[in-house]
Amino acid sequence: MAEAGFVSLLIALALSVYGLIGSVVGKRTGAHQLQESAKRTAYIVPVALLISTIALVAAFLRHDFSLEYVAGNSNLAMDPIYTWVAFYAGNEGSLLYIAFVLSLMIAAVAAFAPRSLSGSMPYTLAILMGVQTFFLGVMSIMANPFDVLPSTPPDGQGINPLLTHPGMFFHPPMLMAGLIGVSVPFALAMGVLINGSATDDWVDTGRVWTLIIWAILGIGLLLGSWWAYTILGWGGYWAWDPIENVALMPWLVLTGFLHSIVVQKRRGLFRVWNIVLMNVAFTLALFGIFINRGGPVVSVHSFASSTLGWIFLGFLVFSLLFSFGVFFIRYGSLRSSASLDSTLSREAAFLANNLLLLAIAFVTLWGVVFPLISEMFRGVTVTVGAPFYDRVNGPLFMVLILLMGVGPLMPWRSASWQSLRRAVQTPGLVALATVALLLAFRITHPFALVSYGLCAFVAAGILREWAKGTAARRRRGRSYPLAFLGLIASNRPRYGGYIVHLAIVALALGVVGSTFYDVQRDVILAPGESVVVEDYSIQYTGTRVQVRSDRTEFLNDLQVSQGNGEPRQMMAWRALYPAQNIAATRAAIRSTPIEDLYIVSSESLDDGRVAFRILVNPLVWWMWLAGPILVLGTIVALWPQRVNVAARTQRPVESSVQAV
Amino acid sequence: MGLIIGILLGLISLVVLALPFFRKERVGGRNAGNAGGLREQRISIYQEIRTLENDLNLGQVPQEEYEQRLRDYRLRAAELMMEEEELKQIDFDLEEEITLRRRNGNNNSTQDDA
Repeated sequence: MAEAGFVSLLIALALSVYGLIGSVVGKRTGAHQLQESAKRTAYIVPVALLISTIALVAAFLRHDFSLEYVAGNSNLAMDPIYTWVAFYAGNEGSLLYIAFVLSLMIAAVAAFAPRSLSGSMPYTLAILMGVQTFFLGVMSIMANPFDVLPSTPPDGQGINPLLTHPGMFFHPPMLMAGLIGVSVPFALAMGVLINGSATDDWVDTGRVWTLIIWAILGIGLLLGSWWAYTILGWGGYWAWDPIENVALMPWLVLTGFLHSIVVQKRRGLFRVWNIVLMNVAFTLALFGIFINRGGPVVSVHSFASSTLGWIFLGFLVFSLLFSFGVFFIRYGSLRSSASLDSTLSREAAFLANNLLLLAIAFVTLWGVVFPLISEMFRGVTVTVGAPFYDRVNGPLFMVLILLMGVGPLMPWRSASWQSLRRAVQTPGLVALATVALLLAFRITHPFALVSYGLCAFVAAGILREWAKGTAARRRRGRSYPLAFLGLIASNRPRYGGYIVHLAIVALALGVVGSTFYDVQRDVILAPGESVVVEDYSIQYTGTRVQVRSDRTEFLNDLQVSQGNGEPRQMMAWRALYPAQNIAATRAAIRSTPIEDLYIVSSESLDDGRVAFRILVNPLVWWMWLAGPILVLGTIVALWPQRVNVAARTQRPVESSVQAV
Repeated sequence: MGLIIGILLGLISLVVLALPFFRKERVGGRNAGNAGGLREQRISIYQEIRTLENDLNLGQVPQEEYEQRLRDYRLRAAELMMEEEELKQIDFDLEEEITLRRRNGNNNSTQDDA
């Protein structure tokens, strides 16, 4: 079966090369049959890579330790449920996963491309096939997951214990899919540019693909935070680690793009800017893959590190030159005759939002590369930690939330100060009332007060618009729920975006609450001893020890009561993996919308006492709620808008006659 | 096993990729694709009109600007519709001509045979 996997990989590579060359040659020579033939590779490569994927998964399930990759990332003790995680736990498997996901995306692009893009589609497919060829080439030559060991070991080295967590089923694959998925909107933009066709043709399709990729990346990031929160045992969820940062940066740029592409669609503005944003997003996505594939940055969780980094860096430089080369050659065709009418307009707010998002992305990039630059030029090893990012990015995020509230309240083209004051009056009053309420509850940290005030401003602005829209529809005789649903359906992209804004508000609630008002205590308890932290009384009742074939587990039982409430059982899990010399933890978490009680056992002492870290993290629950809200908003924004063409058909003609 | 799967996959790929070369290239109907693109653009304009109406209801667009933009949108939609019709007519005329020429060709060959 492993041979079948490798042969399929080689066939996929050959098909990909053919698809790349055939698309370009077919387009340049006008040979439609060659174009069609090359396009068909988009449908066969996923089949070939599916065979490779099945072959590798089967090798894991059969414990085929003759394969170097299987022996390096699994062992006999591994729960079969983690086979899927082991599949992409190492470099070779994750490259196969990335290539497979990309091939599925290419097939979807080829199958669902609108007719308006038929002229540029050969170039788009060629670019995507080019990226695919790179990954398949690297895998076939340098990182073959089907490499066979000279002699078969009796057992494997085992999977990294930190990866045996439910979050790992989705977090790494979503981030990898998100990073490689940026290729799709990038290729759509480049295809249209190379073809020299109308430069707005790609806007609708590009927006849809960007939204999908953006949501995948966003959910991947949130799942990564959840994984870090529950397993890494430090009580936090975001450490500004380089691996986290490199996934965050393209997400930020794509967020900016999703706003500015609306301006291009509605006003024909920002054509140049949108191409620049897409090039930057693609470059940052490749940078993320480079850092993940053994780039020179040390991270707490770069599991798939290798010496392939420089190959990926070369590809990154080539892509950068290619994308900006095409951009400069076609620059003339991108310029728009329209211009920004006023700095007090929705377009201007979107531009400011874009600049802020880019600023945050570049601050983050600087934090990632500065240690490299320092080491390269000064020979000094430095670490850029959370305080740097918090100090610089924190205020930028606050301004961003303000713009998130003000932007949707502004009309297109231009607004007067008077109309703007009228629009922000109600949300502004709600924000002030919120701040007053918080002060009454003795919440006095200025940063927290401003942040919560801004969150209230954003939420009030959205709810006010929904209330106004629903009331307008209600006057047409509809019930409130139908009127509200009708309003959402009337402009799904916009109201889907508003739902996403609410998700960001929920996220901000959690981040601000847990950053400024968390309480942490480190204690050592003997069985039967108790400690009081805030409102919680925590008694350590004892430890159960379970010896497994690959680890020794310590199940530390706790009895927790809040105020005068009934005591509840909680358990903080810790395990030692002697083969890997790793200790893994699972925090005991009691989560409510108000706060999380978080207990992690950091060490078991010889005298039977256990060291615990106990945290009370306010409002973290809202961060995890942001995930489903974000998905809902994305679905609403993506849901196809139905337009009754037959009903509309007559009206334009009639009115055009009138207009003429 | 690996070899068999490889050969099978290779053969299927060859057949799938070679098929377009054995098909006659469609001369007519190219405009139908373009017409489809124009239709997509028209639908997109209707969506814009819907958004504009919504903005008006919410008081985010002044009446004057609403009317101006609505006029622009409708005019553009009408232009697109006319372009669609023209393309379809070209396709139709081409097909008619091809059918006529084929029929004439058949008649000539029948006369030659006779």
